[in-house]
Amino acid sequence: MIHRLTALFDRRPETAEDWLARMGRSGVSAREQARFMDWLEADPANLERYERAKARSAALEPLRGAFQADLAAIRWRRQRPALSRRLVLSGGLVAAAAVAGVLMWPMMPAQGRLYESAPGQISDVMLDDGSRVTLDAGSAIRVSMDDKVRRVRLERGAAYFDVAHDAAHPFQVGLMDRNVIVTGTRFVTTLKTDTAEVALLEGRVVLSVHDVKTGRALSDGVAMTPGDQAHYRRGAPVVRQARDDLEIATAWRKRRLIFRDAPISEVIAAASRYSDRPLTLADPRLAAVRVTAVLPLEGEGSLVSRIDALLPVTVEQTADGRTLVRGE
Amino acid sequence: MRPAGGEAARQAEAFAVLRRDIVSYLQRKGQTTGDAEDAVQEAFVRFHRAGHDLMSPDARPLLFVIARNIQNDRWKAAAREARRLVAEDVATLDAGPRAIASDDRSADDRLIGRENLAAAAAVIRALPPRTRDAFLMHRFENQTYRQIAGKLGVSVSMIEKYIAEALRQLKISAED
Repeated sequence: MIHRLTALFDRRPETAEDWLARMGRSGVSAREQARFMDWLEADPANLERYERAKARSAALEPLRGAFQADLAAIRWRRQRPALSRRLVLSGGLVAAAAVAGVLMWPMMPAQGRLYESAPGQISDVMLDDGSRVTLDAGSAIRVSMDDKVRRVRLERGAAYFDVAHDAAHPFQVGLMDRNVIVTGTRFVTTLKTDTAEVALLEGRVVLSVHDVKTGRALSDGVAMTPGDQAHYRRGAPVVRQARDDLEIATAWRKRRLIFRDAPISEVIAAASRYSDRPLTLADPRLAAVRVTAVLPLEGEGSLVSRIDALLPVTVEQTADGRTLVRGE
Repeated sequence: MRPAGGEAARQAEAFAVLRRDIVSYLQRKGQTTGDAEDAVQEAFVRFHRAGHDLMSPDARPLLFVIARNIQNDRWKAAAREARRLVAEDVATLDAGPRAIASDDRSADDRLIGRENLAAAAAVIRALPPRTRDAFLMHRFENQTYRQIAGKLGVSVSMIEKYIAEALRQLKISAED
């Protein structure tokens, strides 16, 4: 009975388009996959029908830019009521914070100047205080300097900082729910899906949940020394470890990727972030082949042609603009 | 380099699991280990050429069916070869191996011309508002059905129906 009821509400897909929409769900049960396979096998032409439907959707890719305005309109229509609610709420927070005498900078709505790098593009930024920032591909920072503190917030991606020394004006990088507090040093901050990383190349920093203005920031924080890498999740303790390969792990700031005895699949995945065409690993054997390589991100020819020349792989361009990578 | 390591590791693991399962599936159907591994290798190549994604929920069923088609075609080719050697029966050659849908999609199938793209854009803009918004958020912002459902205030299965309807309209316009 229950089965019949769910069947009524969630009718079984019948056409290639129905199945493509079903497979677009983020979680598809094994039973559902088996049903899809039954459908594919029911008629030898179904595989082709399904692939045609998928290719038609893939072929819309050049329209991405054309629909940006429509998507912005969708966001705008949805956000208007939500935005006013949020402003009222944060107004309340500021009032509460003022009473308690605590500044809650990282929690406040985003302010300051936004610097962004395009996908695939590493960019250099010189800040007003003379500090230099290298933004990894597809990254963004927000900078606000007042008369006491130089504040930067990493909004996404990764950024390398070479901070101009100025003991009177601490430099602070907000990263998830913590701040990296420094006076003059070189370090790299990275945001991933659910973790944040700080790699210290030179100097000294303190990692703290408090803002530098509170006074508790330095005493309650975790101090890092050069060669340290710290990572943490929101609300969880900081894990700190000494590493001898930080220069290698942060080599993107020098426009190259360095790999020591890494699987080719990892090299391709990392390089893919810097390629204007997505790189697809089309050969399971590549996960087992390990290489040591220095891959320049800029220079003569395309990144793909450099990969082709440098690594034991064959690269094939498909008609729809993807790049397939296979073993030689 | 660690930044992309997690994704690469997940992909490599998905590869390994699928490969193992399909090889044993073909072996159960009577293929020798070497032939099965060969067929799986070819299946992976065709799978990627056709534009599929290994991390997508449809990867497993598609790879099974593609690998099985390759195996069937090889058997047919072997049987035909055997017959030809016995009887020189040229007539059966005309039938040829059955086409495998995922093999070498012609470039014209994929590359939609400028006019067709404009037509597709017009079809999308002419969809009912919710269907259009759901399709745009799914296709161009990679939002999950659940995220879109939350934003449009409807159920996840309703979003799936919107997406199917948009795909159907695109198909109709492409076939005109």
